[in-house]
Amino acid sequence: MNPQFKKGVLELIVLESVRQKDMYGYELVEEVSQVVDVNEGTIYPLLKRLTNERYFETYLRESSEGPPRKYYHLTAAGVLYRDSLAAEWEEFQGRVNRFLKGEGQT
Amino acid sequence: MNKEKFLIELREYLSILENQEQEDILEEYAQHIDMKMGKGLSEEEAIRDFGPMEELAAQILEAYHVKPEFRGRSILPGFPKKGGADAGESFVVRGGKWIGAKCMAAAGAVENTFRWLSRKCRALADWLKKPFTRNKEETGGRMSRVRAERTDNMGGHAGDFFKMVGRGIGASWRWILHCCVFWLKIMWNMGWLFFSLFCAFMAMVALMGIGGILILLLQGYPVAGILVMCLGGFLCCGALTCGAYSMIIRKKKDACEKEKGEDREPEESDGEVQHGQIA
Repeated sequence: MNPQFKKGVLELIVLESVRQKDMYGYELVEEVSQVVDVNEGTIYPLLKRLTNERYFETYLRESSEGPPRKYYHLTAAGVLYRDSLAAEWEEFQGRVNRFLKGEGQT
Repeated sequence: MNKEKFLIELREYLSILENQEQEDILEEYAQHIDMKMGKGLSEEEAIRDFGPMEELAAQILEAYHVKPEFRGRSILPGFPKKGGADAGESFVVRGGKWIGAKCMAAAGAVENTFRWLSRKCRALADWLKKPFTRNKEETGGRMSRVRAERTDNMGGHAGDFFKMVGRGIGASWRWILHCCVFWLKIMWNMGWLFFSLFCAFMAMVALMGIGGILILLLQGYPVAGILVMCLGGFLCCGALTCGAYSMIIRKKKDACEKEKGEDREPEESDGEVQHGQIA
């Protein structure tokens, strides 16, 4: 799959994953990897950026094995951002699909 | 590459970030590697999944809106790809040069400030002197003109003897006049000096009075009128002090002009000698 495609949608997938359930880094990477085949290292910078932009909040929670884990939680701003991204995606892929099926542009 | 090495190298790439941020992100990667290893992967494999270190670091820095290529020119001591010792030395040299440049810039700024101050002071002094210098030139010019006319008349109708006697009388007369002017000047200056000192003393007295009356006023005595009087007296005496002092200074300037006027005498006597020869 074209890496540029992945890069664009990755943010939306990450936002949606965290919206469903608070997750810690590795868990999130596994979840996202099920949807798109992505370099695992690239998820963390994305998480960092979304946290810096206040779309995510983080908190620590003890785990049964190993050190405490940092969980990501979607903020209200994050939900709004996720919705706008989803709407953009819908429109974008709709247009592309229509074009590919030869129905012409809107 | 094992986990320790990976984290150390990644930290060097991220050294532009705050320590707290570095810790945050490195902890995530360390945990990720641990998890992978818990799933049965080897350390090597887990790290290989992150892809090339440069790309990874670039993506992390991009999340902070830092230019990834900045790292290439950054001053990392002992940056591994350039060779530790070399990079360290160039860092030291560059640091020294930078400090030197800053010191020079600071010294230049200080020098410029002082030069500017001295220029301003000179301009102020010139401005203050201007009225006096102009007067001096005018009066000096007028005096020499008057004297030249006088010597013309003298040279016109007198013999050598009379001229000598006249010159002697003139010189002694001028000397007496000079002495008189000198003493007059001293008297004048002393007068103004004493007057200004007296005014200053009165101003001080008035100031003391203001202090005392202010205390009385605060205690409830009806002395507001006297306080205003004292204030007026203080301001008046202060102004008179300044005025009297400025009179002294102006007289001194006049004295300077007189001396300048005396300096012109040799030229005039030359003129008289020439007249005598013609006669």
